[in-house]
Amino acid sequence: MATKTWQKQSDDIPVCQRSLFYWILRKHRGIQLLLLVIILTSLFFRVFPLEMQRRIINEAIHLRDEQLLFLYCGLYIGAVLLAGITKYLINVIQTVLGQKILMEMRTELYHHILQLPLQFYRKMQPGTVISAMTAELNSIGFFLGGALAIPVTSILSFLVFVGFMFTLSPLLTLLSISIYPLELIVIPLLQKRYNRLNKKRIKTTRAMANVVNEAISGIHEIHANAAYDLEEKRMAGFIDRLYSLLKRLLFVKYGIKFANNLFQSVGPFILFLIGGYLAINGQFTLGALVAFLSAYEKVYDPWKEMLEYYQALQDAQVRYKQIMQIFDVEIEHLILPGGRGIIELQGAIELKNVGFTVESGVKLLSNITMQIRPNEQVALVGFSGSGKSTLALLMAQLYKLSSGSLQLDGYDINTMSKADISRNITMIAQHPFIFTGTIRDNLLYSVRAAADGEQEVPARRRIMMTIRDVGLEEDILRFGLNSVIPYERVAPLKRKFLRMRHIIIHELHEDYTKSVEIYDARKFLHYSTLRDNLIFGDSLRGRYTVESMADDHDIMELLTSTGLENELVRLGLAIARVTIELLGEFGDDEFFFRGNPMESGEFERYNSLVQELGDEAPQKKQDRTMFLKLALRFIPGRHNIVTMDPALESAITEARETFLNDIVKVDLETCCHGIEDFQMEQNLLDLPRFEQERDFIAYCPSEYLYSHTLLDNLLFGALKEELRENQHLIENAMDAFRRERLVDEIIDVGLDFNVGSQGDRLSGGQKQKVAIARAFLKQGRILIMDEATASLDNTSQGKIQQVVDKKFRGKKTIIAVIHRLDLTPSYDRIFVLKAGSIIEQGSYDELMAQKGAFYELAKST
Amino acid sequence: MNSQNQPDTDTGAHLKEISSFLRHFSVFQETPVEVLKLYAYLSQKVEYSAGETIIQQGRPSDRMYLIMQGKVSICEERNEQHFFLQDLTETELNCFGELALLAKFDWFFSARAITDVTLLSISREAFIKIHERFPEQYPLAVERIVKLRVARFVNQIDYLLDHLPKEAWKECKILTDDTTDTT
Ligand SMILES: Nc1ncnc2c1ncn2[C@@H]1O[C@H](COP(=O)(O)OP(=O)(O)O)[C@@H](O)[C@H]1O
Ligand SMILES: [Mg+2]
Repeated sequence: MATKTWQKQSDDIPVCQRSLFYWILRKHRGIQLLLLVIILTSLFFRVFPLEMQRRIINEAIHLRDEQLLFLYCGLYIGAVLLAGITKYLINVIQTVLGQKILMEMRTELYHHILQLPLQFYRKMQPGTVISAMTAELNSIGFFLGGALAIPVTSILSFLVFVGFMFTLSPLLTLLSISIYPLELIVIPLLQKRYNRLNKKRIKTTRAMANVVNEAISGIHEIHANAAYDLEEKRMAGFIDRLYSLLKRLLFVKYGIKFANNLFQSVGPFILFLIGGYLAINGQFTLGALVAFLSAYEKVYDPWKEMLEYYQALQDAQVRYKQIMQIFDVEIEHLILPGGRGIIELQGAIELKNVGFTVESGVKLLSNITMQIRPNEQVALVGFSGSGKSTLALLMAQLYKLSSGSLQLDGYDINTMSKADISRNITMIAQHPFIFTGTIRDNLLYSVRAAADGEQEVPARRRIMMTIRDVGLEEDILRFGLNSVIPYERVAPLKRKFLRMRHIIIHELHEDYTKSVEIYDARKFLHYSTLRDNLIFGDSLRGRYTVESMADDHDIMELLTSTGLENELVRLGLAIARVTIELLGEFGDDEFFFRGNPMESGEFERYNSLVQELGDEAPQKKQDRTMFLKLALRFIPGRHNIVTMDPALESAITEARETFLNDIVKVDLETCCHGIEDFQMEQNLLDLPRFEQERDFIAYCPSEYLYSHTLLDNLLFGALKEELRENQHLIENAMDAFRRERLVDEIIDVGLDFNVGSQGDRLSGGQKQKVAIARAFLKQGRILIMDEATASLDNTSQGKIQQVVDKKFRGKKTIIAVIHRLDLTPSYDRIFVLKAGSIIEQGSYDELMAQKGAFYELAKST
Repeated sequence: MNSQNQPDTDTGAHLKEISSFLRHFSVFQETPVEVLKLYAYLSQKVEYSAGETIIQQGRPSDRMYLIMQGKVSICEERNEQHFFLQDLTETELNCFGELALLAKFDWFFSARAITDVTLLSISREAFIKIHERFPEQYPLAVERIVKLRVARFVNQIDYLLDHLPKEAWKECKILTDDTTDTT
């Protein structure tokens, strides 16, 4: 199990104090050995061709022996091939190894980072952490794989080639490598400079990441204040600095390269001069000279590799240290209790002279002494800034006390593990955090976090009850109604949804007909688009959208043969003309396009098209398509821009019948009948058999319309007037659904609502309710609420207070930081804080009678 | 279907029709054509059947209504009772809720359909958007609305005073009389 390994590792060196090579040497020794073996083999295949070169010239060519030439050439090419293959293997193994080590490094570092105390994150900016965990680690990963193999290979090849050269000519060898030591002096000097710049670059990049991170998090403020210039200026400084740093880094880097190249070309110069002289004088064979030159070239490769390795090592060391340095903070509490089971608390809390001082020396709490009995409900009140939140965080082990003692059921809180705390204590923070994902994910977060299944996933009934308790039902219902439910999700619920539709259409008939124009296959629909009137359904694969209809062969044939194409283009043209005449000067304001099939973004295109046409009718296919689109989007009952010829209505309904009968083969008779037979369950059961193969879903009463929202499906028609309140209808419908126990299905769907990044798609109140529900779902004897209901309206606050008072009474110890004092009477005891100390305590009545600070506070609100 | 003649037969006819309908209302009598057309374009037709509530006292206001057809009663709710104030038809005093164009408030009266009615509604948002485009028209529009409001007020007060029992009357004493009495 994962947790076991973590425990074992906590015995060895702390993550942040390990050296870079610790990671490399710790594991994967087998692979590294294999790598070494392959490298040695490859070395042989790299030297071997050199020897062949010498023999080809000195023996085969010299003796004019063709047989020998073929043999040597064959061996030569074979060796070259094998050298290539081994090189490929080395690269692959190196990269895989590097990434493996990187993976371990990242996992363990993240494990460490997550546990760092809250105080650490007060100072640490998120951008730094993100930059360190992602890009900075990546660049180390590349180095890791070759960290051992490369130097070994390089040194060995260097020695082998030098040795080979030495056998050919000791003198030449000594001369040609005599320049190398020079490099050993110059290059480290340059490298030192490089390292310094590199450190600065890392710091600048992190600062830049922080600026970006903050800008994105605060994008609301930036837009609201139009603070674009200000933010850009903040960023510009970093961009400039990074540019100048990178420039200087590159100067140094290419300086090193330049030095390298220079030294490299001096070698052959010496060789040609002296080697040539020796060869002319017959002291050296031509073959040997060629081999020597090749060898010299080869010997330079490992040398260069060593230099590069040196640079990479320096670079990686710098980065690595920069990363580990920032996270080198001690973790305050173990995750699991060592050597005992998780403690089950009764809920007694005892504080003795507790003090809390922050690093800067400011004392936030001093001498707090309080005894809270199991199941007692206490309130913490006081001015803002008096330390209430700090005290709550101390009790939840989120802060570590500086002095005094805090005991839970007699256990010292400092000795308890995170598992002990999370099993027993639930905390609702003042500013709760909502994770990206669905509402369901967020509600079950605490429960799922208890990894070993110590807390079972709550039953559906409990989730529903909690949602009602915290007043989230309305919100989640709305999310459910407005969601387009995926096909697979609909299948098991379809019958129930259709039952709901039936209730709305038949049982709430009067309200319904007032606000909704039902989808009736035989009638023209005034409040639906002409497209819906024609197609009267949707394709699951997305055929027959307004955009694609003009390219659809079947549709165009139908429209042309009925003469509708012409009529629709004319209608579209009329819409475009009137719109342009009317809105000519304000084509940029989206407001004026709300009652128009044209969108403000399209205005310019239609404008130029209409100008171009003058009085002519459009002829070009693409122009006609444009106007056809407008007509297809036209809703006669809602778009005031033109009126439609009534004759067109019947032409459209006729075309609809042809389309349904002949093109998509929907039996209109059955479709319409559905309305009456709807209630008979058998009819519904019949459908799924051929459901699989169908692509087209017509607006038939027995069909679920997959591309529409749930609400659209329940209403099964278009709303007649947007401004008429359909709230009434929906409320009545919900009451009816409740009676038949159908509401939970909608809530279930609503729970899958995606809350967006950090709950962006929820209101402040909704976020808080989700956080409260999350805490209520978690079991545990102690519940700490830090102004948990502060951003809710009074009714909701009162409702939640009631749940706490009634449902949790005798079951949980409650510590509630409360701002609204009228919510405090139901608490057993109230503690009043001021400037980090408790100045009063007692029941509501006692404190009021005492006429002290609490009395004053209560009076002033 | 009027096929194949000029392609631009109906161009604008519909908006002209609504515009000329709007022209009958005192509020729009001096409004230039191009502005009136925008009103026509942005107005929305609503239908209510007899007995339905069109405006509910206490709800936030956001639009005014013009009666195209039918009869509407204006009532005042007090202590859960409705007190009749005024009947409106398409001919006289043929609109209501005009103050909603100028300000946001909660309706201080209710409006009910007496017969089946067809209304045209204009939202405050549309009113504001139109005058962003034609700021010079704004003072005139405000004046028109205020005059309409005064006419309505006079009408309602007349009705109330006519129906107030004599005993409930309280004479308005003139201040100067008062002072002379006491001295
Ligand atoms: N980490 C910290 N470093 C410095 N000051 C802090 C820190 N945390 C909180 N404070 C300060 O401590 C005081 C108490 O904060 P807090 O407990 O949040 O008050 P309350 O919840 O009563 O409004 C405040 O003045 C706040 O500025
Ligand atoms: Mg606080």
